[in-house]
Amino acid sequence: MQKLILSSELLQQMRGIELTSMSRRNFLILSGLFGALAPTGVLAKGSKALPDLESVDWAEVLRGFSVDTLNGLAAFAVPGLDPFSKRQKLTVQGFGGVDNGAGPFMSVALDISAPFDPNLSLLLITALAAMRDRIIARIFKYHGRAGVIGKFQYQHQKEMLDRVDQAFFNWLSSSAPKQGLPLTLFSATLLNLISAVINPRSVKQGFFQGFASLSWRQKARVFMLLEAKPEKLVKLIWGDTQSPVGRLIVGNLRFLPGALLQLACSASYVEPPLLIDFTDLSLIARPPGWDFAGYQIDDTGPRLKPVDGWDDFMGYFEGRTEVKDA
Amino acid sequence: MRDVIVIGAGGGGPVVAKELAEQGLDVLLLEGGRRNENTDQNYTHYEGLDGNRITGITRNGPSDPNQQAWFREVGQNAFIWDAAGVGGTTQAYFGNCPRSQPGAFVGFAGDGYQYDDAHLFPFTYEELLPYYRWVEKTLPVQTAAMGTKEALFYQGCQAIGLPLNATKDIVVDSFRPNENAILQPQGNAGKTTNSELLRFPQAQGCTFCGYCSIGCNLPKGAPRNLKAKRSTHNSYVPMALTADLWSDAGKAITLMPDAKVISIVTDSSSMFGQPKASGVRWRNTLTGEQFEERAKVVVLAAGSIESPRIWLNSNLPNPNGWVGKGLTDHAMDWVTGVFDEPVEGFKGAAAGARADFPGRGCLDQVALGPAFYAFSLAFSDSGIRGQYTNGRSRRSIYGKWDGPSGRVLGRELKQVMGQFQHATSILVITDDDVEEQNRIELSDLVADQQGPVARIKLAKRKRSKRTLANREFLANKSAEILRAAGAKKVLRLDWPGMLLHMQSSMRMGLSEADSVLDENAQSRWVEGLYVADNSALANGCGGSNPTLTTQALATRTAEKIMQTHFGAKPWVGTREPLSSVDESVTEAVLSRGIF
Ligand SMILES: Cc1cc2nc3c(=O)[nH]c(=O)nc-3n(C[C@H](O)[C@H](O)[C@H](O)COP(=O)(O)OP(=O)(O)OC[C@H]3O[C@@H](n4cnc5c(N)ncnc54)[C@H](O)[C@@H]3O)c2cc1C
Repeated sequence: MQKLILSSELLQQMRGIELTSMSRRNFLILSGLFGALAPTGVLAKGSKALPDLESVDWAEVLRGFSVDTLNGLAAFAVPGLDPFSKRQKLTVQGFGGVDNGAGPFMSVALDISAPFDPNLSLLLITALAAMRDRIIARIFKYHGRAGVIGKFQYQHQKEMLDRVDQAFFNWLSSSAPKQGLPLTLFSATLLNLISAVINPRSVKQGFFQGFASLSWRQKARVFMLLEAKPEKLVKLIWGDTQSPVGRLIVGNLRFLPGALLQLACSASYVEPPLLIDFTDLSLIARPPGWDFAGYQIDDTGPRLKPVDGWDDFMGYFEGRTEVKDA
Repeated sequence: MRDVIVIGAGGGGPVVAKELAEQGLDVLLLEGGRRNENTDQNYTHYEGLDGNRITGITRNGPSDPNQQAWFREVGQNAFIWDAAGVGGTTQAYFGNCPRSQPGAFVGFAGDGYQYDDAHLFPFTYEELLPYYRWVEKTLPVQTAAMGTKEALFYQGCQAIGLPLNATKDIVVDSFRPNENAILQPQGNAGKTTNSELLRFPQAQGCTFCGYCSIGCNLPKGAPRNLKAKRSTHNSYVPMALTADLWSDAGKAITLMPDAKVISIVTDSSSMFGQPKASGVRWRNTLTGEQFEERAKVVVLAAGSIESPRIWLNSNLPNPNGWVGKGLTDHAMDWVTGVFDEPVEGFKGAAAGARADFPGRGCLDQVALGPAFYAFSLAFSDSGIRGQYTNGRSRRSIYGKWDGPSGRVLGRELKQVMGQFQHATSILVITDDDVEEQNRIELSDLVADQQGPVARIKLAKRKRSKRTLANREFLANKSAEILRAAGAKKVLRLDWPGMLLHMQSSMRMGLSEADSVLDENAQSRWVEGLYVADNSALANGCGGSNPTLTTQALATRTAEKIMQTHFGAKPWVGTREPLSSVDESVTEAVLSRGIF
């Protein structure tokens, strides 16, 4: 198995990352991870009882959470009439990236693009979680509101968050996340954290939280911020760019935003695996992306397939089939 | 003990392997990726399956699809497009085989244009010509046919007053059909969409499918060496595997896929007090087992990223620090034109037409499927079009195209994609300078089982003045051509690093101070170690697509190896080469059961 091996320096530094309980709580909320638990029902509203987290299938929860965020991205890249496009207040007639299955497609592609190291997910997420308290306070001050964190002021709420935090990080550092997620989870978390910077109201529970809850223009601003000066952003939010972890985050921030946008676009026009009949590699139906692009395929045979050739041969320019040295 | 071990079966490695096998040497060719066999059945032209850069069968990763791709530390907005497996990146390439611009070589008389004079090839263009001819015949290279999109491109070029170049050499600003390593259409090829009529032998050569970048398995039913596109998988490798059958003195090579090289082994006991290459260590990617084998000569051809990585992970000497440095990538860019009428931009050879500009680079008209096309429109260093400019000055985002350059997203992407059939694009291939800042180094953060992974560093906006000026010139020219051909909307993307062409990261050069290889492509500091991929090139070949030059150079390197280590005489220029489509090769390929 192809393995990724993180340098000992990196691991050492990771172990040394001090996460205060305050920053861990903030991270859970701002990243949308806490909100992602809402559909599981473990966080019964108004209940003072501590949640039962034993039953939580984190892989499932996090995949759903990540795909929601990535669908928000697909709608941004290629809007359609789907709920994610509606949510961003930019719909365009015809199919969109979400209809083409771009969200799940991206999730698979992202995760297989980085060899697995049990420490990688933990490292990246821990590094994100080390967000400076100061910046969180500033986000909310800047927006002139007490913010969502203010709502979690009671002791039982803090305890609940701490429980979730413990369960989440336990899961992350176990071998369970082996089934993928390293880059998807990081990407989704990153997009949501920056969304919180752009619009604190994006921090909420359930569907359409974080990035997926922003307007199209706000989404563009998330990328403006991410693309502009990764060093500055990392320094501002995490306070460190020179250490190995800081460099890893800066590097990822330089690479990921572009990669995410480009991937979202191609995933919106690719043939979704669901439409491929793997027994004979034909298509069950025309992919929406192809249809919309007016891309032609071989529909002369009994099954739809990409063509083996086109009838566009017009001869040779000026009839010349061969040239010689000058 | 082998005579020669070649590392990497991509654009360059198989050329050395075939030439030396033809001479009767015992050659082991190690390839880290898979060997794609029975491609009539096992290959699809789905962009999301086999065209997928992360999961597809020509991805840069091990052959086991359940294993993750090979990782590189990129650390910037860039797309690295190289392919693993027998054939390497030529599985995905477009087959364009222009010769280099002559100004990239020492001894060039000058034509008034500026070249990267500080980093020229250490021998003359004339010296390489016989090797060009040899490779052009072997592959073979043929003049590209014309379809709707090419006709449109030529029309645009003529309308802006560019003359036609009806030769193989680049002398003045001009346009021409590409000289492609693609067998041209015969029989039904190019004349029908009916797959039953497109089987070999009713159809021969290029069927105009438009899927060059996914890999060519057409025409179906054709023997491996008669597939249209001449990736080394279809040309040099089948010849190397059957050298005993078509060459009197020949000896078939041993090809080992799934063999990922960890390091080059050296002995310290050389005559000159230098280390001497004595073998190679590798790991089977399927079983994890490690092996070591000895050889008289080692040829490194793992591509411009992995070759320096292997060197550095082997702790070989690097006294001037130039191992990995001086990477050229042709500072690529993309300009798309949308027309009123359908232009069939996705049909035919991926790149059938071009224009060359001495001292500047070249333009290739390129066809892509919808997913790659959408990608190409979203790939920009100038932010999201109409939203933000990513710190780019006004001057750098406006030109002869419409509006600012930038990522085309959202409503506009959907509009442009809706006119997919009405669009064609031009790839800007810049003659870029060799610069120390653009380089491959080892990551100090992450490693895999072969050691630290490669870290790629490429300045985008801070390239040399000449590089940046050439790129702007070519982007504007592209817009002019498209407009003159009738485009109603012209978009310039201002791509960040698109690494399809990667050269000169282990460069040969005149000066010992800034090169790794001598004029024979032998390493300056390790005896018996040669480099035969794009990394050996002295520079970016004046912006010409690099593979033909790499293959000509690799042929010359094979001769140098024979002369220096095996006491043989040169053969190029003394006789005609055998073409890889010769009947004797076809017979050999069929009788050996190579599919
Ligand atoms: C879409 C596309 C279109 C292109 N079109 C053109 C074109 O029209 N004309 C042109 O001239 N060029 C084109 N190119 C570029 C062309 O493909 C390259 O120039 C060429 O393949 C480079 O040859 P190489 O030997 O340097 O490297 P590669 O072809 O990349 O081969 C290197 C090989 O080494 C193997 N390897 C790497 N590490 C190891 C290891 N540790 N152990 C064993 N094996 C290893 C790799 O798996 C690979 O097979 C194109 C590229 C792309 C992506």
